[in-house]
Amino acid sequence: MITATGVMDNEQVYRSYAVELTRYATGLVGPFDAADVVTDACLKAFSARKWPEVSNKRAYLYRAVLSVANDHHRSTLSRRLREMKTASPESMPSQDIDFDVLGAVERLSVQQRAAVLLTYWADLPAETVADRMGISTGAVKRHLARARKHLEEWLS
Amino acid sequence: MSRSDDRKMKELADRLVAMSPEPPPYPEEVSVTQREDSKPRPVLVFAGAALVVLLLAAIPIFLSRGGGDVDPVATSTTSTVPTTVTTEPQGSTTVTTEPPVTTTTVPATTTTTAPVVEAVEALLYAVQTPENSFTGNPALVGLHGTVIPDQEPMHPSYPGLYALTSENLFLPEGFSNMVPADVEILGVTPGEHTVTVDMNEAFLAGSGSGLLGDFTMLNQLIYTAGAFGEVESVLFTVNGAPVTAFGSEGLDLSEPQGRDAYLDQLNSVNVDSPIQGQGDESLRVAGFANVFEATVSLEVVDASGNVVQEDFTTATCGTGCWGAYEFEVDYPFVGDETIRVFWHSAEDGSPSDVVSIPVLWDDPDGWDFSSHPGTP
Repeated sequence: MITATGVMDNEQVYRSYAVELTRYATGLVGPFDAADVVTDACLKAFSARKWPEVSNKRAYLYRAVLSVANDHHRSTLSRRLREMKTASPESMPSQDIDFDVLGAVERLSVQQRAAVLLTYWADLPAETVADRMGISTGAVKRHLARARKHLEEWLS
Repeated sequence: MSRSDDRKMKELADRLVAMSPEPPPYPEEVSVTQREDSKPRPVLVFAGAALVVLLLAAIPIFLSRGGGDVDPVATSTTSTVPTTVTTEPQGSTTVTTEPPVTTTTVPATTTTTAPVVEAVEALLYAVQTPENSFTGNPALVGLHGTVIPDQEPMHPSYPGLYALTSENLFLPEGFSNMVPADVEILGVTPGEHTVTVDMNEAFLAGSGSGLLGDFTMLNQLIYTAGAFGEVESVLFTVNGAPVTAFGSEGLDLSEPQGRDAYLDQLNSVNVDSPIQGQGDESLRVAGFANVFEATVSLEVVDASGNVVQEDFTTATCGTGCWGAYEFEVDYPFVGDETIRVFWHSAEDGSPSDVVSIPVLWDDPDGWDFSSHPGTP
C-alpha cells in the first residue's frame, strides 16, 4: 500500500520486486532455495534499522539477496550435490542428470553468478553491478572473467 | 570478449533465471520480532527440481553449439525476463514449467561493458593475531586466491607480492596485512636464489605500527616472495638504491633478507599451506613451528563451534628450534569448518598460540582477494 506521502510500505515494495528477486535468487542458489533466500533477505532488509531511510530499496534488496545467498550457498549446495550423488537412481527427478555439469555450476561462486546475472540478465553496466554487489568495478570484471573461464573449462 | 561470448553468457544467464519458481508469499511475519521460525516454503520445489536438471543438462549442448541454437528441452521463457535496469517487474508475469514452443529471444540492446581485466592466481602470507598467545607475536598464514592486479606492469611470477601492495586487497575475516596501502612495487628482478624487489619511497616508513609491525611486514613480504620457486632471500631496494634505514627503528636491509631473518618475531605456530580442498580428498595442513617437544596439535571445528576431530603431529624440531610439520586431515568437509593449529601449554595443557583458519572447500580458486561480500 502506498501511504499518503507516496512512500511504498513494505508489502508494496515486496510485491513490486518479489518476482525479479526470486529470479535473481534462482540464478544464485537454484530453484530449490530461491524462495527461502528471498524471504530471508526481505525479512532481514525490512527489519534493518536503516531500511526506512534507504532511497533505492530495489538495489538494497538485491544486495540483501546476494548476502543471504552467500551465506546459504556453500554448505547447502555442497551438501545437496553430495546427497544427489549418493541417492538411488529411482529417487532422482531425471535419469539424464549430468553430474559433471551440475558440479560445474555448483562450483561457480555466488559472487560469480551474481556478476553474470546482473550483467547479462539484467543488462546492468559494470558500475551498477558493482554497486548492487557492494564491490569494486574491477572486482565485477574479475568475477565475470573467472566465471566465463570456469564455464568454458568445465562445460566445453 | 567477443560478441559471441557475450551472447553465450546472456543465454546462459537467461536459462539459469528461467528455472525460477513463483515468488514466495509476502512474509507477513515481518512485523513480528521472532521471525526465524516462520519461513514460507517454496511452492514449486519439485517442479523446479525437474526443470533445473533439464536445463543444466542442456548447458553443455548449448555451449558446444556456440550458443546460437536453442536446445529443444530447455524451458526458457525469456519473454518474462527484464532486459533493462529500468524495467519494472510485471505482476502478471509467471514462469511456466511447460516446454516453450518459441525460440529464446536474446535482448536486443547490449549495454554490457566487455570485461578485459583478468584475475591472476596468487599465494600470499597474511597476518593473524593468535589466541592465547605466549609471546604476543603475530602468526603468518599462507592464503591462496585470485587478485586483479592494480599495478602494471606486474612480474607474472610474483602476484602475491603485488597483491600485498594492492590498494584493494581484501582478506578473509581474522586476517590482516601489515603492508601499508601506499607502498608500491616498482620492479621485481629474480636472481638465482635471491629476488630483488624495488619499492617506492613509502616502503622506507615501514608498517607504521612500530618495530613488531615492521618485522611482520618484512616477514610477509619475504615469505610471500619465497612462496615461488627457489627464492631463499629477498633484497629490498627503493628506487634502485639499497635500504639502510627501514621502519621505525631504521633497520638495515642492504643485505638480502632470508626467511630466518625475523623468525623469532613470529608466533610459535605458523601455517604455510592454503587450507582448501575439494571432493572427498583429505586436507593438507603444513607449516613451521617452534613449540614444546615439537608437538603440534590440530582441531577441526564445525560451524556450531564443536570440535569434531583432533590430531597431533611432531615437527622436525622443537623446544627452541624451528621445525616443519604436516597433517593430512580426513574429514567430510563441506566448507563451513575451521582448522585450529596450536600447541598445548607445558604448564597447564591449555591450547596456546592458536591459529584459526576457515576451510575453503570445493572452491579451487581460493579466496577472492579483490572483493568482499556485499552486506546490506
